[in-house]
Amino acid sequence: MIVQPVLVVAAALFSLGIYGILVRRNAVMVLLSIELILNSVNINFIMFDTMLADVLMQGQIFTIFIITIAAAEVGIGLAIVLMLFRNRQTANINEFDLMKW
Amino acid sequence: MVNFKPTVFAEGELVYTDGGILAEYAWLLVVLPFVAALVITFTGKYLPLKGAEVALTTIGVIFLYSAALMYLHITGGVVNEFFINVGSIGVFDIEFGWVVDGLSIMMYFVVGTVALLVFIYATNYMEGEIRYTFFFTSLTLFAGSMLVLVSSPTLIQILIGWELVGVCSYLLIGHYWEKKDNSSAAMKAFITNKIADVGLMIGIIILALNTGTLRISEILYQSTHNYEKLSTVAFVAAILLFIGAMGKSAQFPLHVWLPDAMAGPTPVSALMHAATMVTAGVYLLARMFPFYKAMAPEALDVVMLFGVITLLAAGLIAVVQDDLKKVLAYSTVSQLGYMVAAIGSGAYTAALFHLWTHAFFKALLFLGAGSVIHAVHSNSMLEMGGLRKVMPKTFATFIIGTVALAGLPPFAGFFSKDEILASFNHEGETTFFFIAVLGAFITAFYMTRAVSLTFLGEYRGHGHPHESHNLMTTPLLTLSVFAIASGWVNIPGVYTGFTDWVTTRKNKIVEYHPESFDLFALSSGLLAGLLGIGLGYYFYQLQGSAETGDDKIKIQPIWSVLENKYYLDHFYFKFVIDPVKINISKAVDKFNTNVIDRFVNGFGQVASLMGGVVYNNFDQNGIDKLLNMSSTGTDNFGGKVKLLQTGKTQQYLMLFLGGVVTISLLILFII
Amino acid sequence: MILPRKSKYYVAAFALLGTLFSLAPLVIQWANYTSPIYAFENSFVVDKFSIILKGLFILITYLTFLLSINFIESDKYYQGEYYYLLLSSLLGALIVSSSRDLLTIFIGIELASTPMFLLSGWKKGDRKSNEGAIKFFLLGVLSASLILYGFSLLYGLSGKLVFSEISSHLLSASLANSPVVLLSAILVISGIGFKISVVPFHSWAPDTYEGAPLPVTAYLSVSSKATGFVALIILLTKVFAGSGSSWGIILVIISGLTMTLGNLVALQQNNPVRLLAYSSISQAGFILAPIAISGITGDYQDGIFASVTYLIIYAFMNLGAFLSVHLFSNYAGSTNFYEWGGVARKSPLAGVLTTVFFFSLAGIPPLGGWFAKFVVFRSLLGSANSIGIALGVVGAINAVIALVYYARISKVIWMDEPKSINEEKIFQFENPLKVVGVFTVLITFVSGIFPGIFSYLGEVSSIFFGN
Repeated sequence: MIVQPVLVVAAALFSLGIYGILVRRNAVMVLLSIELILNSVNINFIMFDTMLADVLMQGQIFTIFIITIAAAEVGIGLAIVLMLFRNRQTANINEFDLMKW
Repeated sequence: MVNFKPTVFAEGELVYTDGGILAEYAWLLVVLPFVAALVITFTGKYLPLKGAEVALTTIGVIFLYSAALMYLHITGGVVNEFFINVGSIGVFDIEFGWVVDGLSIMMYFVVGTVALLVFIYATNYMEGEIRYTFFFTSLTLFAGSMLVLVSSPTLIQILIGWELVGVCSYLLIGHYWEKKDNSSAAMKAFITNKIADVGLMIGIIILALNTGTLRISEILYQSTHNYEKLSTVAFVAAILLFIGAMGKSAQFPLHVWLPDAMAGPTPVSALMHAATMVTAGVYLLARMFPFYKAMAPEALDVVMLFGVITLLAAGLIAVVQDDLKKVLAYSTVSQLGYMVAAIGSGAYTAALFHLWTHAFFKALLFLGAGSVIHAVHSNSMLEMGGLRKVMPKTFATFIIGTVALAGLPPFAGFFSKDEILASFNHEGETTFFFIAVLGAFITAFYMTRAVSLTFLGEYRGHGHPHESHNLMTTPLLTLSVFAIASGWVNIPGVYTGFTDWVTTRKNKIVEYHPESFDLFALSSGLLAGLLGIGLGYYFYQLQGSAETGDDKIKIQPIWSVLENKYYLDHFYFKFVIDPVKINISKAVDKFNTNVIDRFVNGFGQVASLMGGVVYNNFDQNGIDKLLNMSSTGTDNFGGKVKLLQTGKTQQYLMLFLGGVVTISLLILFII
Repeated sequence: MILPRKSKYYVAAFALLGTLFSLAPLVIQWANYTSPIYAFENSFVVDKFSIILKGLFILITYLTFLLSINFIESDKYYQGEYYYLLLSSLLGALIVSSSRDLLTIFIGIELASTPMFLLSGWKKGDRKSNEGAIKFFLLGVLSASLILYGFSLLYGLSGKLVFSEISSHLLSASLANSPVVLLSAILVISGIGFKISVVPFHSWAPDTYEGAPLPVTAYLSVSSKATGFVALIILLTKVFAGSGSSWGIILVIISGLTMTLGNLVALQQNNPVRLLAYSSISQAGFILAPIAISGITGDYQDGIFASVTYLIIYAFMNLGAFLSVHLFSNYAGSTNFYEWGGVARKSPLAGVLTTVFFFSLAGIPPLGGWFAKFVVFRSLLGSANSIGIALGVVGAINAVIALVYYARISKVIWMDEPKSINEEKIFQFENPLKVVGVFTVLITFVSGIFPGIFSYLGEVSSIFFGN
C-alpha cells in the first residue's frame, strides 16, 4: 500500500495551509487555508484507517466529524467576516488593529 | 475537632498548669475583635460615639482577659495549645488554633494594654477627623489580626496573621488617603512587606515539607531531637523565615517602609509601628528560637549581623530627622535592631524583655509626639520649641519616655538594654558589643535633640498650642508608669520573673541568663547614655541650636548621606523599581512590539520570499485564479511584505506558529 | 428565539433554572458514587473528578447568566441565541471533563469554544468586538487544526482512539519518547495552550477580552480556560503520561514565561479589562506550574490536586473581579481605570467586593487566592527537584510583582482624587449582580478560611489517576 506518498501529500497540504494563513491577507482566504489544514488531517485519518485496516473504521468516523465541525466553523467564520466587512468595508485581516499590545 | 491534649510533652523544667477554662476560651481574644469590627461597620454610624464605644469595650475585655491570663501565668505558669483541624493538603494538616504559654501571654498583655490606651487616646485625637468610624473598624481589625498572629500554634496561622496585619497597616497608613503621599506610603509599606512575606511563605513550606507538620511545637521538638531531614534544609528555611521577619520588623535593608508609614495617624504609629506590629518579626524569631539555636546557629549569626547593622544605621539617620515622628520611627527601627541582634546572639529573654519595655515607652513617646502634633499642627520640630511651658503633662511624660529609651536607671529601657549588652559581652562579640554601646550613645543623643527642639527653648511655630484633653494625657500618664516600672520585672540578682514567664513554653529554651549585673556592660551602657544626653544637651541647649532650630554639627558629607537615608530609596528606585517598572516592563512591551514583530516579520519575509517563488509561478497562475476572487493586487510582492509589517492578526498567528516551531526544536533536538 | 422581544426574559429565567436543575443529577451522582462508571466503550466516564469539574462549570455558567441578564437587555443584542450559545459551550465543557477518547474530547473542546467565537463578537456594531472575534476565531481554528493533526498522528501510531488503549499501546511498543509522539504532544500542548492562553499562544486574549461583551469575557477567562486545563490534564496524564520528562520541561518554560510576561505587561495596562486579561494569563502560568512539575517528577496526583485547587479558586475570584470591573466601568464610563478615582465611595459594597477580589488574586490571606498560591508553591517546592524550586522562585517573584497592579486598582478606587464622580449619577448595582458578588465573595472567603473543603480533592485526583 502506498502509505508514505499519501502522508507526504497530507503534510504538504498542512504546510500549504500554514503558509496560506501566514501570507494571505484576505480573511476569507485565511479561512480557506485553515480548511486546507483540516483536510490534511482528514487525509491523514483516512490513510491511517486504511493502513491499519481498522475494523471499527474509527479514522473514517473521525473524518466525518471533522468535516461536520469544519463546516460549522466556516459558517461562523464567514459570519464574523461578514460582520467585519459591514463595519469596515474591508476583509483584510491586517487592517484590524484597533487593539494593540 | 478541638484537641485539648498537648501533642508534644512540655520540655520546660518549670512548673506549669494547663490554664483551665481561661486558656480554653482564649480564642475569644482572637474572635472578639473581628466580631466587633463587623458590628462597628454595620452599626457604627448610628451609635452615639460613632462606634468608638464598641471598639473600646472590646479592647477593654481583651485587656482584662489578657491581664487575667497574665496573673494566672505569673502565679502558676500556663502552657497549653489548642488545634482546630480545617483539613489537610496532601502531606500535612492545616490547623488553626491558639496557644497559651509564656511568650504568647506576654504578647497578649502588651497588645491588650497598649491597644486599650491607644484606643482611649484615639477617641479624642481623631475627634472630628474624617472616617472616624472606619478608623476604629480598622484599628479593631488590626488588634484582631495581631492576636491571630501571636496566638498562633501553627505556622500557617502565623502566615495568615502576618498578612492580615500587613493589610490593616495598609488601610491605616493610608487613612488620610486624600493626600497622595499617604496612599503611596501605604502602597510602599504593603509591597515591601509582601516581598518579605513571600520569603516567609516559602520558608514555611520548606519547613512543613521536611517535618510533615505545620505545628510549631512539633517542628521545634523535631529540631531539638536531631531529625535528619530537617537539618539539611534548616539553614535555608531559617534565612527565609528571617527575611519574613526583616520585612515586618523593618530590618535593614527592608526598613524603608516604616519611616514612610508615619504618614498614618499618630495613634496608629504608636500602636502598630512602635509597639505591636513591628515586633511581629521579633516574635517570630523568638517563637522559632529553639529551631534556630539547635538547627541553624549560622543563621543566627546572619540575624545578629543584620540586627547590628540596623541598630547603628537607623540610629544615625534618626539624628538628622527634622520630623518628630520620623525621629521616633528611625528610633523604632534602631531598637528593633537591638532586639533582632539580641536574638541573633542567643539572648532570647533579653530580646523579649526589650520588646516588652520598648512597647510601653515607645508607645508613650509616640502618643506624646501625637499630643504635641495635635497642639502645633505640624510634624516638624523646627516649628516647635518651648512647649514645656504650655504642655507640662506631655512634657513630663515625654521626658520619662526619653530617659527610658536612653537607658538610664531606674527606667525600663535601662534594664532591657543592659541585658542585651551583657549578653553580647557574654558571647564574646566584642565588635558588636561596642557598636551596640555606640548605638546607645546615639539613641540618647537624638532623643535629647528631639526633646530640646520640641520642648526646650522658645516657641518657633505659629498659633497657640495648649495642653491636650485629659483623654489624651491619661494614657500618657498610665504609659509612663509602665515606662518606669516595666523594667523592674527582670533585675538580675533581684527578681527575674520575666525570664521565667517567657521561657515557660512547651519547648525548652536554651540560653544564657545573667545571674547578676555585668558591671562592664552596665557601666558602658550607662556611660554611653549619659554621654549622649550630655552631648545632646550641650549642642542643642547650651550652644543654642534649639533657639534657632538649626543644627550646628552639620558635617556636610555625612549629613547629606544620612539625610538621604544612605540613598537607599534612591538605590531601590534606580536599581530595582525603575528597572522593573520602566525598563523591564517597557522592555517586555518593546519586546512585544519590536522584537516579536521583527522576528515575526523576518520570519514572514523569509516565508514570503520562499513563498514568492511558489506564489508567482504556481499560486498566482494556477490555484490562486480559481480561489482568489475578491483579492486584488496580490502580485505586489513588496506590498505584501509591507502589509505584513503593519498587520496584527497575522503576527499573532505567526507568533503562535513560531512558538510551536520553537518548542518542537527544543523538545526534539535539545532535550 | 421565537419569543417576541418583550418576553425574552423568559429565556433568561429558563436558562437560569435549567442550569440550576442540571446540578441535581450531579448531586445524585455524587451521593450514590461508588466507583467510576464507564460508558460508550470506555470513551466516557463518570468519576468524582468529572463530577466536581462539572459542578464548577455549571456554577460558572450560572453566574455568567446572572452577569449577563442586565447587560443583554441593555441594548439590541440577540437574547435567545446568547443563552443558547452559552449553554452549548457549557455542554462542551461538560463533555470534556468526562471524555476518555480522542474523538469525544475533540468534540467537547470544539463545542466549548465554537460558540465563544460568536459570543465574543456579540456587540455587532462595535469594531473592537468584531476585531476581537476574528482574532479569536482564526487562532482558535488554527489551534483546533493543530490538535487534530496531533490526534491523527496518535491514531496512526496506535490505531486506537480510547486513551487507555493508546497509552498502553505506546507503553508496550515503547514509543512514549519517539519523535512522532513528542510531535503530537507538542501539537496538542500548543493547541490547548491557546485555550488556556499561555505564552506564546496568548496573543489573542487581551484583544478578545477587550472587545467581547464583559460577561462573555468573564466566561472566557474562567470557564473556557478551565475547559482547556481540564483537557490538558486529561490528555497529558492519560495519553502522554510516558513522555512526561519531555513535556514537563517545555511546560515549565512556558509556565515561567507566562507568569512573568503576563505580569510585566499587566503593569503597563490602564484598561482594567486588558489588565485582567494579562493577569489571567499570568494566573494561567501558576495553574500550569504544578502540572509541569508533575511531568518531571511523575507525581501526577499531586500536580493535578494543586492545579485543580488553584483553578477552582481562581474561577470564582476572577469572575468576581470581572464583576467589579463591569460595575465601575459602567459607572465611570471610562476604560481607563486611572480615571476611576474614588468611585468606591459611590458604592462601598462594590468597593469592598473589588478590594476582596483583587487582594485575593494577589494572594493575600485569608482570601482564597492565598490558599491557591500556597498549594502551588507547596507542590513546586515539594517536588524536591531543582527545576521545581527554580520555578517556585520565579513564581514568588511574580507574586510580588502582581501585588503592585492588583493593589493599584483598589488604591485608585478608594484613595485617589475623585474625578469622574458625578453626584447625580446613580451607581447601578442590579440584584442579579449582587447575587454574583455575594456568592463569589463567599466562596473566596470560605476557600481561604476553611481550605479543608479542598482536602477531598486529593482523594479525587487519586481516583482520577487510579483508573
